[in-house]
Amino acid sequence: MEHSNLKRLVTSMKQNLFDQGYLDEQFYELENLEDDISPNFVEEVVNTYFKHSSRLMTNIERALETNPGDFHKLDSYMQQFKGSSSSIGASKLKNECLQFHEKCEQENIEGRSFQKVKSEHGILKQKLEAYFQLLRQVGPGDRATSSN
Amino acid sequence: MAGIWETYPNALSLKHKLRALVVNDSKFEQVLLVAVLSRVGVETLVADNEKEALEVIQEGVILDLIIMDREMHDLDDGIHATRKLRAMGVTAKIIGISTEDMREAELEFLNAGADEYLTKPVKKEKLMSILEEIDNKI
Repeated sequence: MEHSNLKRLVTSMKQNLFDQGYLDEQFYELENLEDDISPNFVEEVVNTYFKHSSRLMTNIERALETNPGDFHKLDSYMQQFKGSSSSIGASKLKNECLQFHEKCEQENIEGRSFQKVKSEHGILKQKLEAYFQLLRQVGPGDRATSSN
Repeated sequence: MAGIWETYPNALSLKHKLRALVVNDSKFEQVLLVAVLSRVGVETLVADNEKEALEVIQEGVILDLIIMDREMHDLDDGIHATRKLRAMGVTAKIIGISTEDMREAELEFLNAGADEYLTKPVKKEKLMSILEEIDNKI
């Protein structure tokens, strides 16, 4: 694909992620940390986030199976999840975490409460993987990293 | 020594070489905070928990700033650690961070001895302003 078209596609893909509410302005803060020393900083951070969040999700699932009444523990995991998600600008996911947290406070957790979190996590992972795959094709020198 | 020293080429306009400790059990969040701090030339240590944070202090490391996560192994670990550090005579500026955007959460941290409270995600501009304040007071 012609390079300029590729750049346009990358820009459009990123804009869609914002327009659809998957990402918020915190993602721009990550982009502002990229420099010549760390040209792929955002992708590296996002990959680290998904490794970390996948482990947290496993912990939550295990906790839901073995001791679903331990709302304190569930909430502790979810607070971590929410914090990390907000740090990369994962807006929808952060909101799902907040809803789960509220259910923990009400001591009213069902299996599907967590399924929604899992689902949003999976969707975001797919979308960001596709975005970074395309971004790699553009190359570090030509990235559009402008904020709104 | 507990934690990891992260040192980067001096990047910005602080007059002094500041040293910070990030206390957070999330490696991911450690990476982010270290990235922000290091880009302005702050020498940054990390500690995964209260125990490691206390070890850093006991080793005689002089800190200018401590960024303390509230929710580590337990929901109030950061508050407990803050209280402990102040009891040990630590005078570094302590910023408590949490996902809770509530006045009670802020008050708990401040009452434990934190100087400021920020909700996640921590904004770079706010951190920079705190660093400048520390830098100007030296």
